[in-house]
Amino acid sequence: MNDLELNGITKRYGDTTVLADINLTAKDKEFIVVVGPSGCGKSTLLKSIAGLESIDSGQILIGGRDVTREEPGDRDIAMVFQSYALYPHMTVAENMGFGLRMAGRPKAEIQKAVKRAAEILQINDYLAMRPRQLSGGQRQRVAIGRAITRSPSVFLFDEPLSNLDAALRTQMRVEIGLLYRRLEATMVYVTHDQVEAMTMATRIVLMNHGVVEQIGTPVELYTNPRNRFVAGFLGSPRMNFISTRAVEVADGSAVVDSEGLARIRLDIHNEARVAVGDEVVIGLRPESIRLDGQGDHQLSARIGLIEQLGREAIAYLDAAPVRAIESENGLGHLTAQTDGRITLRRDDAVSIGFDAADVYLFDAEGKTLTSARTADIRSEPEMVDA
Amino acid sequence: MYPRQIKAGEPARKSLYLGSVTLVLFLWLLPLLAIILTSIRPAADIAAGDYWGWPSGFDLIANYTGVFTQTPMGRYFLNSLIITIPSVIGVLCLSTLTGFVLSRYRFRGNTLLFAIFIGGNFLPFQIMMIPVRNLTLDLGIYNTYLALIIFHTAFQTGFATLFMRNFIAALPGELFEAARAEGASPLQTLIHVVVPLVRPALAALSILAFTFIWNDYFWAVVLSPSDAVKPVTAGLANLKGQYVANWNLISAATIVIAIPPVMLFFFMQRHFVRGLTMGAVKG
Repeated sequence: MNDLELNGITKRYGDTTVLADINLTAKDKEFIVVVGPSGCGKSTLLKSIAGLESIDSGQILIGGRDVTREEPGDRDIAMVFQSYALYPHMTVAENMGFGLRMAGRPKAEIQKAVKRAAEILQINDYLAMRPRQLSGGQRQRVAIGRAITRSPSVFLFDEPLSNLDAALRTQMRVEIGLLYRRLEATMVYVTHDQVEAMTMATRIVLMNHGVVEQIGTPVELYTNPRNRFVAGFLGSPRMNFISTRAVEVADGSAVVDSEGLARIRLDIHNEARVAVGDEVVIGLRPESIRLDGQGDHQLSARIGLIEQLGREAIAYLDAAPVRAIESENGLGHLTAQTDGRITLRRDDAVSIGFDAADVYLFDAEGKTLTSARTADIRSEPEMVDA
Repeated sequence: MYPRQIKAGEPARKSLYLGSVTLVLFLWLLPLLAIILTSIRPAADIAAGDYWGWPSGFDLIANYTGVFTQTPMGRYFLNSLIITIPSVIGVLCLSTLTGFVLSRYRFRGNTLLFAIFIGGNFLPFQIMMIPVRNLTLDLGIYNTYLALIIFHTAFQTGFATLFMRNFIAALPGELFEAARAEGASPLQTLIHVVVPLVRPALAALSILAFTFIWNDYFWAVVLSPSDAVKPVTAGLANLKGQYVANWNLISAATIVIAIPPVMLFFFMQRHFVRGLTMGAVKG
């Protein structure tokens, strides 16, 4: 069993806490993606798991064994770095066999392991080359190959695709996904790219300021964000947030009202604490806003800008007096995502519509108040029994 | 700020430029020229006071063989090699170790230790002359190769540590993390990752250290009074007799002495230039 268990990992640099009580259990063969804005502590967390950073308190178990105080080499992990970290003076084969060579394994065994890894990644042709003769994508493949050679229990990836260009990144993302299915190993993957997180993870760990905001499957986090940070972080373009006020609170539902926005009745969950008069924030995903005016609620707006992406278009809507807070363009415009065959232009007046069922409600601290909804997007975490 | 090409069609400026370069080069190389000229002159020329004129005869072979047959230069030369080569090796080994530790490990007193290594360079070594001489006497190594080897190694390691530490610090940190994650011990990391990557620095450092130690006169005089141990620099001074000096032989000996560092430089020139610039440019 290649489980990874983190119990109350805490790390401080002087007075700043970079990791605060992180708890996580990654089951055998799970692909965990740790995502968050820069400086949220995700890389530190990964290095702590690797043993490259020491932790102040907490416990790390790999395969049921406490490795908290063990050297990285004894933890049965392998790490892939953003900068590939290949040794420039060694050939690809020597790079890949380095770990086994340092462990004093016999030559034949090293050769066999390198060959196997090279075949998996289709890099047999480069084995005699040096890293500088390879392109970025090939180097990253070698770096992954080096990790595979050691057949570790847990693979750790530290933003492995960040140095690649967009096209290559997509390609490598798919390859790592396939590799994961083939290796059937536990993986922890750190990234700041939500697309990588959404597409690759069996479960996402969303971090912010050294704290885990939410852990769950990608769809779970997307449809049922626990708070406003999670709601705003996942999804591009990001969710629209509008300040409003609770005017009526009943058992299981609340009504919000603010200038320009009609009264909206929303289902709230049992533990939601909200009172009449409370400042609350509603959230609406860009794809929930419709430019044809269909839906339970309507608003009149003016098109501020259209970003045409071909397949889809992003419309920035001036719906004054309704203003989005933390809006994408800083003007308080609402963002709507729509079909690419849009005929509207800048300054056109439109009637926009949305359904109350698509609206999220957050309290002043950012906690989600609306009750959980079922995902209508089909996606299940693969390989792991939930 | 930097030398710019002189445009074609400005002959006056061009010839002025070429003229001044030639003049500066000539002045710069004049002492060397004088030594070379003297080294092939017959002794009679010098006795006659003809230092700069055309030599009355060319005693190139006679003078240069004379260096080894008529003087103990051969012995001195060997002494210099016996002192310099182990010292350079010692400096390279020690400074690689200290540089690695100081650049890659955080521990209490790291900066202080580093400051001491650097600070030592600023002490004028003349003030250490008597203590060092007494120390070698007490250790029973006065007037032995070992005294010079130990002290040259110690004195050069300060600068060399600064050099190696900065060089190793400029290597990407992820390489070290990768090695550690792969289970390499610090010693394995040093041998398999650091040393191959700092080879240019080691080449540059070996030339510098070799030149410093080979050319040292001060410690040679202080620590090695006897001919059996004396290196070339101190030996050269010995060639001057009390009443007469065979300047033609001394000049020839000087040229012979200068050859090893120059040869080393030409052999390692490629690495040397790369070593001096690599830390800055990060190749």
